Amino acid sequence: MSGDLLIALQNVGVRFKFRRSLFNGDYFDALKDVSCDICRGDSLGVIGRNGAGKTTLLRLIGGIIKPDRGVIVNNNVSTTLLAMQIGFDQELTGRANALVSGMLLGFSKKQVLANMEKVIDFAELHDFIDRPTRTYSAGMKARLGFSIALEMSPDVLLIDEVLGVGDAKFQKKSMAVMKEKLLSDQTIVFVSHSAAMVKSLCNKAIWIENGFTVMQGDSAEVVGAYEQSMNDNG
Amino acid sequence: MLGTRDYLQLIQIKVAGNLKAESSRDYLGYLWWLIEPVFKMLAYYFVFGMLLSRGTEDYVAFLMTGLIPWLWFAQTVSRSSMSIVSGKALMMQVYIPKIILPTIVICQDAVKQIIIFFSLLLFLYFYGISPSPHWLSLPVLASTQLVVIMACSYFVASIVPFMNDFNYIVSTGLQLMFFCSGVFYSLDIIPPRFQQLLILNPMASLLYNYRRALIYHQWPDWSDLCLITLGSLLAVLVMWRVIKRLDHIYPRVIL
Repeated sequence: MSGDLLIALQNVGVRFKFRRSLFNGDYFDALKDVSCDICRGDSLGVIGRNGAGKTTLLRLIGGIIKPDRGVIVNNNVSTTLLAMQIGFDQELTGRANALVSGMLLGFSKKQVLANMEKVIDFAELHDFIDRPTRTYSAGMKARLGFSIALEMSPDVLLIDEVLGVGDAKFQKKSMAVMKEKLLSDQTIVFVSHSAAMVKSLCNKAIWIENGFTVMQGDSAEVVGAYEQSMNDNG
Repeated sequence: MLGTRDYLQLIQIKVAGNLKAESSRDYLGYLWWLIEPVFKMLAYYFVFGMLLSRGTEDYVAFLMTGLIPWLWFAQTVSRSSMSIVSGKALMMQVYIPKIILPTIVICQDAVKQIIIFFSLLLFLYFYGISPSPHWLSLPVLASTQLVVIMACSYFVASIVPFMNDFNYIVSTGLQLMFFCSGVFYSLDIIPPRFQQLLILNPMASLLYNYRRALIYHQWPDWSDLCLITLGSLLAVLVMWRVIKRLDHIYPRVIL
């Protein structure tokens, strides 16, 4: 199932410093010691309680922040957070926003333009695409954001919870595509509170608590242990 | 993975989109770019030309030639100061070189300024100042000013994310600089020992040279322009390196 190694995290730690005033600081270790490997075709689920450091881990893998301790080896692969409406500007047209968004996700102008019709089709926005995004309803914006994120996939897709977007019909459609994506050979890292979701969608899982790795490996085993501990602690 | 060329295209798309959006938002659209300096000019003319009767014979032309480059400088610097902070949502989702954020503001205002400068020349012509070959130095003057603007904009943009308070200093600093740049007075009315000091302010020197070229039919002082360009260029290069070094720090400090 696993292919070549794409990204490796080795004993990474992240410390956030807060400045209260000029001379008064405080810090917080979001991650203390976490290691994991992401190989081609993996779908890695990240589970843990609120504040366990899941989102920080995702930002590290996405190259948004750098670790204070440990190393991240990225074998020249593109990673992006599956984010809705990335870089959207209310005043720009839907088309311009889709172009900017696609480029921010790591694609050249040419590549984005080649996929533009597919994006518009999926978002069902033919009549509105050349109007400013501020005239869109919340659902329309979400649909556009979602289709861009889906059509323009990087080597490693990072997902921070699956968001329900649009009306019921669109939600159903997007869930189906999302599942397909998760089960295909697209490499993903999926952060979720829902252990059941991780179990059904991911082949590997990592459980982090207070910035440390508690357990990692086969998703069914890790999720089983996680659920057990949740029940024990009430 | 995106390269420099992709990022340049991205800047271009954003700038074009923003300019179009800016003009379609208001009823008068692009006209506001010209109406605003005229309104400001009228206010200064009322105070300094009439109430304080400091106005010389071509005071309106004098004011316009000072105000238009000044407003370009002040607006770009103050808009840039928040550019990295307001890119917060974006930089939490993808990696982008943060230098892009102030660059978009700088480019957007620079494009606008081309139209404004053309209108200034038209205005001077109808005001009765005959066009002269010295007007040809306007692109050189404007390019010099652009480098000054870049240096100041990158500087303030790089600091504000660490210290939000710095924003107050920027607006006070701009006001002080406005009074020290000779926008509404000529530098020769102040005592000579301060004149030396004021000319250290690149905007004072630039406004003086704009007026020489556009109103008084003289060539600008080339050595002044060279010095300003070189100094600012050096500052721009330093700021590029600084912002690059801080690329992964910004997403942590802007919370």
